[in-house]
Amino acid sequence: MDARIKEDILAVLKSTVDALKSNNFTVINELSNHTIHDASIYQDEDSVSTAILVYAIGKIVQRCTETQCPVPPVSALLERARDALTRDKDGLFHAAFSEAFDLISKHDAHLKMYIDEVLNKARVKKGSKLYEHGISVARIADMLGLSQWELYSYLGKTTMSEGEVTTSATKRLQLARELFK
Amino acid sequence: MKTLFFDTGPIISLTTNNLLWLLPKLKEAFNGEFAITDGVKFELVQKPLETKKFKFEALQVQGMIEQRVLDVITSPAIRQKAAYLQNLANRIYVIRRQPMQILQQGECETLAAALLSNVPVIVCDERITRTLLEAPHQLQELYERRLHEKVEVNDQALHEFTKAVKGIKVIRSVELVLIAYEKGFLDQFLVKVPNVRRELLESLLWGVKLHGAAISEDEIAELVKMELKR
Repeated sequence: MDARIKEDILAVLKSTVDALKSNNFTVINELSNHTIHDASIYQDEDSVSTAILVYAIGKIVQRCTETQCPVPPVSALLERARDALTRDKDGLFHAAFSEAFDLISKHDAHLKMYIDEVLNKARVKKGSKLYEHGISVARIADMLGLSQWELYSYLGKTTMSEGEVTTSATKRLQLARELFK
Repeated sequence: MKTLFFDTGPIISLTTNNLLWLLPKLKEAFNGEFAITDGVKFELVQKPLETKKFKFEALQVQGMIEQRVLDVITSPAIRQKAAYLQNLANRIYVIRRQPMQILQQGECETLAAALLSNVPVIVCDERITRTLLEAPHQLQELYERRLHEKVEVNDQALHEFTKAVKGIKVIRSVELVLIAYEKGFLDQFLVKVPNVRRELLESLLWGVKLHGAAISEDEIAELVKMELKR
């Protein structure tokens, strides 16, 4: 793993574990964006999955705080992931992440639909952040295992899809008129 | 026969706005073929059929393919050209000595297909592809602004890419619905409400915008004004 990616993931995991002690979902939600910067540049799976996992944890903590259900005991797994990464044991790091995803997915049968939705939403939200950083929809869909249908539907509701005006609207319409005359 | 190639976005935009039925009428007005590449078909049909969402929309697109409104075109020449374009595009912007991977094979296939066809125009709603074609230096600025990092441009890759796609122009789903409006395909919606033409135009343009087409609020206002003056 690239040293800079590793450093950023370690920092995010540490801050997430700290924030989990007080169930501070606002901080956790913000932390999920930190690795998106690396994900845009390196487009590596680890930065992307860190962003998705941390976002999902934040949403579940928020939900559990509001409904007073127990928060999944995910801190120990994040600590394990940190420890593995510090020792450059990438295999163990991935295993801890995989267990963390499993744990939150199976945490509560009543929350299953909600958690599936959260995990999917996490992908779409992080995908929109990548789009904001200038990666194409198709590339993001591929990186995050999403369909472009989901991404376009989400992006349309933001101002991210607008982009800069590179050709005037009039000129583009004129071109279309010539094609369809 | 002339052929117009579509990227994924405009078909998604038309379908999610319940406007896919316009496609046969537009095709007739175009007096040629509408086509997508294999990669675009995968994104539009196969992929959503594997998920819980957008299955019905995928079936509608498959219907258009089966009715031959949309042809699916693939060839080794398209794939080869697409791979060449993708390789170039993904070497243009360099951050921390790392070339940014910005385009996928699917988008490049649409570009390649248009380059190999007799209509040097693609229908594409995606801002990155469009900006790369029309104003690549704006992308450099975008990356620097968003990533807060110095972005180097590989001039040789940019020059070669620009040369390879020279002449390719882009229209969006926005222009397609305006053409449909101008040709009267949407006249059934001129119902009895005040300022109905304005309402119809705004509903169409905001509809495609809210489903991902790259258009700003100012552009919508400009286009509505222009259409109402006609």
